[in-house]
Amino acid sequence: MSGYVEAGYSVVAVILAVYSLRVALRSRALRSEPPSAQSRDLEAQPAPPHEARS
Amino acid sequence: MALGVAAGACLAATAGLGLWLTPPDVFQGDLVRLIYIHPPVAWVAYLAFGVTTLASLAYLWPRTRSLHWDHLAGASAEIGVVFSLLTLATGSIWGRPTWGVWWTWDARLTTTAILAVLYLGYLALRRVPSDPGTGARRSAVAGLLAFADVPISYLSVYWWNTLHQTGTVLNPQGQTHIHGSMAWTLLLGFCAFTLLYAWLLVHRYRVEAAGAAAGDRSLELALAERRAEAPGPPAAPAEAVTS
Repeated sequence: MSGYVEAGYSVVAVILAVYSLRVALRSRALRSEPPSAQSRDLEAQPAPPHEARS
Repeated sequence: MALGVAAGACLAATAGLGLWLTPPDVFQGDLVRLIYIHPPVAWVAYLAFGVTTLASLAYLWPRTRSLHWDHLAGASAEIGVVFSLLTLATGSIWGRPTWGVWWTWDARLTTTAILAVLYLGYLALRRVPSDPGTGARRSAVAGLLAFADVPISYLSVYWWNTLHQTGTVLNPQGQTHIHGSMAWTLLLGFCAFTLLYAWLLVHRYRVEAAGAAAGDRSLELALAERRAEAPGPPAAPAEAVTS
């Protein structure tokens, strides 16, 4: 088989695998800790000592 | 999850059929195996830019205006850019042994390169800081303008004399120039890459929407910090007198 064919399939496979992995990892990270949960966590944190005293 | 598995299975089947089970072509020999990836990748680029255009229209239409459309347009455009660059790469790899050159200023190649550059510009425009409404409106208009190159690119092989061949499956004559296992494998390739596009769009949309929300929050935080750093309002006259 021509080396060009393998080159074409390899380029597509590598680029799409890297891009898909990047998108999937970022999407999974968002799903595991949604932004709303992050902001809720921040709100739920106890006030710093000096504020608590005041 | 099911979409991703289906896309992966179809892509693997396309590669297996395309590389080993389909016959070589009478004229091109094994090089014809590139047909199972090159046109489907180009189709997904067109599809992605089409979705960006429809989402941009939906955003600009007052009755359907929502930032969800803007997020969808941005997500689809990025996928479209990846696939249009892959179209250029696979086309170049195919062109070298058949035409003798990696690149030529052929109408189809040139308009496809312009398409990729236009949508790279679109993605750059989306990163220009602005309030969400203004940015989305600006991006929607740019998305509509950029799509004008899609029909030009597709029809360029009929409008001008080009090295690039005319449509193998879809052409004005309505004659399919591919048959048997080669046609079925090409069809499977179109389905596989379309499924991959759908899977990518679902996840990329989620990232785009979350990124916009995070951007809004960081903007609000930055504004709050600026307000806190700014000197307080001037004292009232009565207070000034008493002090």
